[in-house]
Amino acid sequence: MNDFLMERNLSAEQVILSLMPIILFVVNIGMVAGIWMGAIKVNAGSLQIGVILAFINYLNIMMNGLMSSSNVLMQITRSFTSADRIGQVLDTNIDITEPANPASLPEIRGEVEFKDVNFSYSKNGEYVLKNISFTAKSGEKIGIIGSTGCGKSTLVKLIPRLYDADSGEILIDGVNIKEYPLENLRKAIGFVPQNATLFSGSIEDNLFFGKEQATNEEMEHAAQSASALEFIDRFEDTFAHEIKQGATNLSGGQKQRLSMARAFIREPKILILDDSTSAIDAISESAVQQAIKRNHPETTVFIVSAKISSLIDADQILVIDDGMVAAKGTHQDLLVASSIYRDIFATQNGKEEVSYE
Amino acid sequence: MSKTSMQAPNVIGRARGPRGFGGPVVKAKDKKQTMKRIWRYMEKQKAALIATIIFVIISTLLGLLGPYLIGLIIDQYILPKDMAGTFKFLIVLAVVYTASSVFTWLQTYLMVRVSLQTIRNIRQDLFTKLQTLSIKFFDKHPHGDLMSRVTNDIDSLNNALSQSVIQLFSSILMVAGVTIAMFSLNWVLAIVTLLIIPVMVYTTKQIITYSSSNFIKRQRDLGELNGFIEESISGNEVISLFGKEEKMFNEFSVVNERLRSSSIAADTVSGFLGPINNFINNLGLGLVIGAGAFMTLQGSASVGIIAAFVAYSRQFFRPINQLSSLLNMFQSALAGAERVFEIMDETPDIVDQVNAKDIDSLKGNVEFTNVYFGYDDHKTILKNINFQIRAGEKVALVGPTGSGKTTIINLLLRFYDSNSGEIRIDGTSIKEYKISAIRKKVGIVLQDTFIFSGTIMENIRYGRLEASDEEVIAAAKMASAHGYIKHLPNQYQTVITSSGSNLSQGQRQLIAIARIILADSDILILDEATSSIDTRTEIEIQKGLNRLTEGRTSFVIAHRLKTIENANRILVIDQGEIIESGTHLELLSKNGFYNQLYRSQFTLNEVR
Repeated sequence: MNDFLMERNLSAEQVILSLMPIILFVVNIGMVAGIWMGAIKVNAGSLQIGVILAFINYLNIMMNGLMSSSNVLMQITRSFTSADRIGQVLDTNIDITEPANPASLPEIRGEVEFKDVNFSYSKNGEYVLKNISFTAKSGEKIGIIGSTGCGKSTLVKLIPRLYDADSGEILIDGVNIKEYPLENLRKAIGFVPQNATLFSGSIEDNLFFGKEQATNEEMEHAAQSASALEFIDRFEDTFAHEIKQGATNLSGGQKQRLSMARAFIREPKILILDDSTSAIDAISESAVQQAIKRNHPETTVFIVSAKISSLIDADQILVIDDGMVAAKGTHQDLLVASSIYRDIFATQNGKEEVSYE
Repeated sequence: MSKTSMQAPNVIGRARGPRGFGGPVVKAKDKKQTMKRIWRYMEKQKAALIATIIFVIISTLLGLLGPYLIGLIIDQYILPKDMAGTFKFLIVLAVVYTASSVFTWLQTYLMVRVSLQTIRNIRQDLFTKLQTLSIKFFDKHPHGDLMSRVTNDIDSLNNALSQSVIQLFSSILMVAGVTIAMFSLNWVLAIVTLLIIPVMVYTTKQIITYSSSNFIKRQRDLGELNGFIEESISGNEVISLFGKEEKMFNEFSVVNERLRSSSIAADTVSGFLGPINNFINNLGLGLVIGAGAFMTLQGSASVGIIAAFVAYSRQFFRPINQLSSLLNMFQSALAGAERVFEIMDETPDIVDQVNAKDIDSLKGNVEFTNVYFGYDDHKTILKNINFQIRAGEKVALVGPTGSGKTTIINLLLRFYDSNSGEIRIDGTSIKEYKISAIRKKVGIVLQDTFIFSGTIMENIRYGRLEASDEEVIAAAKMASAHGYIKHLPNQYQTVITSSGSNLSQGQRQLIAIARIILADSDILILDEATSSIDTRTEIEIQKGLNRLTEGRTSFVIAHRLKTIENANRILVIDQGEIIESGTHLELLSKNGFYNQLYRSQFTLNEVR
């Protein structure tokens, strides 16, 4: 790759650098011709010698001008490519659009309904989600489980309209989410993504992301719920502790806990945990789960997880297989009704039960 | 990539990446040393360099000859109206100019080649060096800064080498030559021409001093802007989820506006430089012509001499005008080169001992004796770690987040060296093995899997480069990755974008596992290897992993305790210390930390 770059540079620079000698040559030959013509005229007596002097001077000025304009020309040519690339970005259509006349709606309560939702990432490719239908009542806890790559994460990403479904409808409180102003929709949702992205700045700044001008109590409360307070308190400057770019000075578990605190502080009507506890130990995780139940009883909670233990007490568990809802129901229902779920359960809990008793 | 800039004043303010440095010209701390090192790279192309220098001398001399000939022609031939002589000498002049152009072209052609070849070698060395540096080094240096050294600093060095060096050289030569030529033509007029130089140097200096604070400001604002953009692009998902577009937009427009105003301040002042110098040049020209006219009337000069001086003064001032900006460009390139060399000089803090042992295989006895470690010197992460593991044992490391489990693994792989204590494999301190040997024989699957951009096939083959396609597929099958891979559009030839963002975390993890199966290591480390994989798939992989770990020492870090129940030994780590160790059943009956941890995974289940 290095060699390739060198070749490219070489040819590009050589074209550019040969311009200068060429200009030099042309102007200087012009000078010679000028002096010759001048000499003839001076000889014939129709020209003063001073005119030749002036001529030489003019040519010199011209040369300077040509040289700098060839530079400018080169820069302009280069900038065309850049301008093109910028234009491409600017011309990209915004695929998630605000509703033309957003309905003025009462506050979101948190009832979520999927109706025959289909979705594919590349608009004509294979469907990642097929015929998804379910209803989550306000305050319910919905577990979503399924094998790696089955579409669990994609499903919850449709709720805050990170993507729009290809067909079918997603309703919140009976209204299509496309009718809500985006801002209101997302304000009601607390989302904890798989990758805990934090921003450089203090812990406080990051929590403000969830809620601007949150009070100290609110921050502490949210951090407590996310089991983050214990490590924040260990920093000398607690909430003012600076996070480096990319949060390289925090461990994976700490990042995830802050990411959760950031969602909790919003007091969301809909809380989505997208497999967001992978780097958190079991004790902290159970503490977080209990805190959610205690502090947000009216919030509809979606938990995407590969672990049955994380969603065993859910009001409804959706078993996703190959982009489809293979089964839904409570843990007990599914143990009876779904062979896939039984399989998962057997691999995770069957053994534990025996050894525990 | 590399921007050629003959319009030198711009160079001062050239953007230098996210963490652009301080002022308009950051000077190298040790110029001589840095130049020597650059020279060592260029030395290899001595022949081309010598040729370049000769060409520069020739073209400069030819350039000097031109105005001299013009003067001669006017005085000797045109004024006496000798047309044949005029014609003859004009032909000579044309030849001189042609040759001068050819040599100018040749010198730049050669120099660009020399420079790019040099740059290529430096870039190669820098990259090689970066590969050998320890993780500690990367922890300490922001990635943006390193990137800027590999791209921007090298870029500015390239500009300096390919142009400013040659221009500097020919400028100095030209100035000296013109001075000599002028003095030999007419010393009085020569002195008049030189009179203007102090004025020019003084004004240039004034303007540069005045503008430098503005450039510093601009540099700082640019760094901030770049950092902001970087973060908002990588944090795009979170920004839209939390509806912070407006806030980011506002913050950006503040940063953007600040950059605009500081850029305007910087450019306005430096923009004066050209016109002012131009004015001074013309003033000088006026003086020369005035004095020349006066002297011609007195009979101590001639029209031809005035003509020659007019041409000379142009040749004289152009390089002088350029000189200061060329010097700036050269200096900032030197500083850039120094930053590059700084990395090359970085002694990797973890290096092979002089007579480090290479090994074909490890038995897998691992022993930690009184090991202490901290990433910073004042903060200990691991305290007094002691354990012995016999070959073939499966050991689980258990403990809360941040307790130091991963650190133990990092020490074993010599990503870091312990502060005190001893780590032995097969009875020999790991410091006595070649680092590459240890890393080849110890296979690891991490929480975060690094995927290179390339096909799936290539990514798995990374475990063992010489593996055949069939072996790769077999490994993928064993890792249960085959199932999803065969559903991908191009199966094993599917191209994964860098960082693997078109695969889910679990899918990436499966690739990592396939990789390690392929590598056939003697000691295995699974650091939360299956945390993002659903348990059904995990069971399948476990089967593969069990086959793999049979007879091999393996370390498993897992939060889900059931995956480690069958370990020969479980080490419970809390706050950097081993607080309990034993088998699953032993630890359960101990009623200690492990038991508590184990129960906690059930509190979630009690609802049942």
